[in-house]
Amino acid sequence: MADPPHITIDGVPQNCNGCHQIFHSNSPAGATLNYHQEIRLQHGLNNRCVNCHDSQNRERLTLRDGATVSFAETPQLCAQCHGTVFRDWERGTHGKTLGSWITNSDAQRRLSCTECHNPHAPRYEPYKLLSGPNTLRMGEQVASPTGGVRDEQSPLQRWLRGIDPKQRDHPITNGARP
Amino acid sequence: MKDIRIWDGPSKPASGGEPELTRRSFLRTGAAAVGGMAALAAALSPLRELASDDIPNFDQFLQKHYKEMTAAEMEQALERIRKKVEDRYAVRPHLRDVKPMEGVEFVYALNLSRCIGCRKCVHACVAENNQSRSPEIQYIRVIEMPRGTLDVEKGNHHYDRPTVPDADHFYMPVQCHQCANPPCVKVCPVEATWQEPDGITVIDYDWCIGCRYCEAACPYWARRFNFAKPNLPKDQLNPNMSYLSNRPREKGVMEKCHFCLHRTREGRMPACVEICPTGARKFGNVLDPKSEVSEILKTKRVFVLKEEVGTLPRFFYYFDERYPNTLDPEALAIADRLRAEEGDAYGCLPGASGPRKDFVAASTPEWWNGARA
Repeated sequence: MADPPHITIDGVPQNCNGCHQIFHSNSPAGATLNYHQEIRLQHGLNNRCVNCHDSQNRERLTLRDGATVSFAETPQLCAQCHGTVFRDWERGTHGKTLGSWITNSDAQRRLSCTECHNPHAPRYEPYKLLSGPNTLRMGEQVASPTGGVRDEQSPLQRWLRGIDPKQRDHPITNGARP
Repeated sequence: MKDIRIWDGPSKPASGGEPELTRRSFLRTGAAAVGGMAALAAALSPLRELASDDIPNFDQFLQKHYKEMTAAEMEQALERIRKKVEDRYAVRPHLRDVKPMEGVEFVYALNLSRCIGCRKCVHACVAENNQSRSPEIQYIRVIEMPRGTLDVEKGNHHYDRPTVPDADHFYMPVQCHQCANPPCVKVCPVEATWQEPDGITVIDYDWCIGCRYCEAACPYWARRFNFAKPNLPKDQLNPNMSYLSNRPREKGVMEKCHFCLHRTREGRMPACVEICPTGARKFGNVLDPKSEVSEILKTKRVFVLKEEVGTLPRFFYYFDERYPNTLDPEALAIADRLRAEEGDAYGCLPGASGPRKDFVAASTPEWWNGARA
């Protein structure tokens, strides 16, 4: 994520403060949003924008003690509530590490909280799964005249079809079923 | 030679019961010979289907065991394989023999609380390691397990759902456990498979005779056999390969997970770790006390699959804590409601309720609440 983040309005990239320094945006609870309507805030008990976003400078995040951090320092912010997860993340037992398994290697990079979790709705969405195993698939998949697929090399399907085409000009069985 | 006589007219009465070459016996022998030739031709007929690169050439036939090859002989073997891959796939592979690193023993850890069963690891592994697409060979099996059991016999490989995870199941991927006491290595009659110093059990695909003893010996069903000629589309070949890992295999040899040793022995992560969308997969050097896997072994509740068979796997499973770390009754009530409505914050087991509140309250020391107030 860019730090601070950008938003594109009418094809023009804008910083947060481009709007927020001009317009007053301290909506009361339950108010209908005019902007940022794409944001679905489903973060459990944490249901107010300014719990995390600094109310004065929208290009910073706010900690509970009033200090602000940049967007690149999100883990510090999340750690205030998710202490045990932060502890695990620091040790490397939560989250994802890319690049290298060698501790403290330059190539190693541990993803930060918001690279995996959407901070506004941190729960993982249900996931589409990839295809399952097909251990009987033995060769080229050929469309069968009776519908479905035919598998030229599968001994099971060859047996089901009866005569093996390779056996048809066989010198001894002469086309008879072996 | 005295038994065979030249035909010299109608036979005389046999004397002394000696076999005699009659017209009948001659024809019988001749027919048997012709039949035998036909049977031999039939038995050899599969050879007609062999492509030219299926037959081992002289160099390959005389190639030594991996451990007996000198550096020059290895380079010769690598060049032969490079040429063969280039002929078959029209790509010059980056093929080398990567040796284990000093002071490294690889260990894998898998977080069952995070795995959602999406099978991305399975397909990343196939793409990385040049497995045959048809017949289909996959090193990783993701088993959908009903809650309440760790018996893999009760699991299902063939689950198919619009989305995962399913609330009533958890997901347990199984692949080679790189055992410290590997039964597959013990049963190999030709020593084509062995354990390397960094803990990876490897196969010399040129030495394997395809007897499949190792497949039968493995309690995790981690080994795969090439029943037919592996089929891999040219444009899907991964040219980054090593001798002991993902170079293209032939029909009739075993293969298995090797922790992506062509990547990991150069410091990179295995493909399945890189692709995992939930960070459930962890990999590293257990001899380094600061590594992620060492931290997991120290701080998490780990277990191994089928510990009773004594294989000492280097592949550990573990679960995470995932309960709210507060004792405030109001916050707990809200968390319960949210979990019922939205599921767990991490997406796995919605409705799982954690330890009973009265049990937690009864076992909480007085001073906890006092210190908080």
